[in-house]
Amino acid sequence: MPKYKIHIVESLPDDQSIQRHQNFPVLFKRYKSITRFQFWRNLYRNPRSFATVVLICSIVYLVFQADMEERSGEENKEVPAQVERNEHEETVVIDSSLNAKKDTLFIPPTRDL
Amino acid sequence: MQRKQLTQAQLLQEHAWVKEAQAKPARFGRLYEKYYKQIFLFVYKRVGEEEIAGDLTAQVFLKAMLNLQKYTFQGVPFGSWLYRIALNEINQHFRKLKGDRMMSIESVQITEIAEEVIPDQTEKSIHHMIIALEQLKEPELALIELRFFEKLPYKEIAVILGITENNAKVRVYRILAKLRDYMKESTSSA
Repeated sequence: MPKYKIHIVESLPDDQSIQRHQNFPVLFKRYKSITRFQFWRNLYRNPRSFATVVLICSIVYLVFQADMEERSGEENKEVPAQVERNEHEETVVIDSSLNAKKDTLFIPPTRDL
Repeated sequence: MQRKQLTQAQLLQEHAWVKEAQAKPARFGRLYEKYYKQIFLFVYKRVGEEEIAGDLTAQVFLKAMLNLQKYTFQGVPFGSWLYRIALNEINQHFRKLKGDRMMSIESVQITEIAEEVIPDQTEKSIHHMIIALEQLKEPELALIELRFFEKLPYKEIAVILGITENNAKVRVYRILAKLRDYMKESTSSA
């Protein structure tokens, strides 16, 4: 049990000395600095909101991952080799990788006319 | 005996201020201005130093601002809630210090409580009264302090200490009886 000492005082601090300690702007500044990141802190302190954030993050990650896989699958899909015939009925196999440049590709004739 | 009580209209107006402050914390200033002196003096009586009292009072109001959303109107002035926070802060302060607790009482106030306990007062009996007060337990002293030094009505004391109004009355009655017993003992031994 705490022990008490009773002091008898003649007078308590006057209004002037009390007002020296009274400062609402300073208090409000402290309040602002404490509550500035409170919203973000509450997000991970409250289990329910933390679970919601984790759920949203994992959904976004999975969607992103699926999209990436789809894109890389499209790029890797093999384009069938195109067979073209030149004017002398000669079969020329053009490499699929050169497909894009086929308009500018020059194929020399193999047989003299 | 009692501090000037707020009328119903004043209580409702104060509650409107609290609502405004809950929506916009910058509006808390009015409540701060209204209760600063009262809370400062309450803390000062327990710690005895102006600087510490100033720091603790600032802490009380900061906690009040941070927890304002949790405040619920119970039909008593907002100050009761601040007294409750102040009591917790004072207890926390002394727990950290691990030292003896103290209480400053104005000489006028000691006469007032002495009137309740002993009808014929002498300088010696007031001295016995102080010794008797020192023998009370912490919750008992807090009750006496709120009732006789802060002059709060039983309804507010009940809210501050988290007890019923009737319980507060009964407890005060018992503590006064206890003080009388202590005084009888000390006067007979002296």
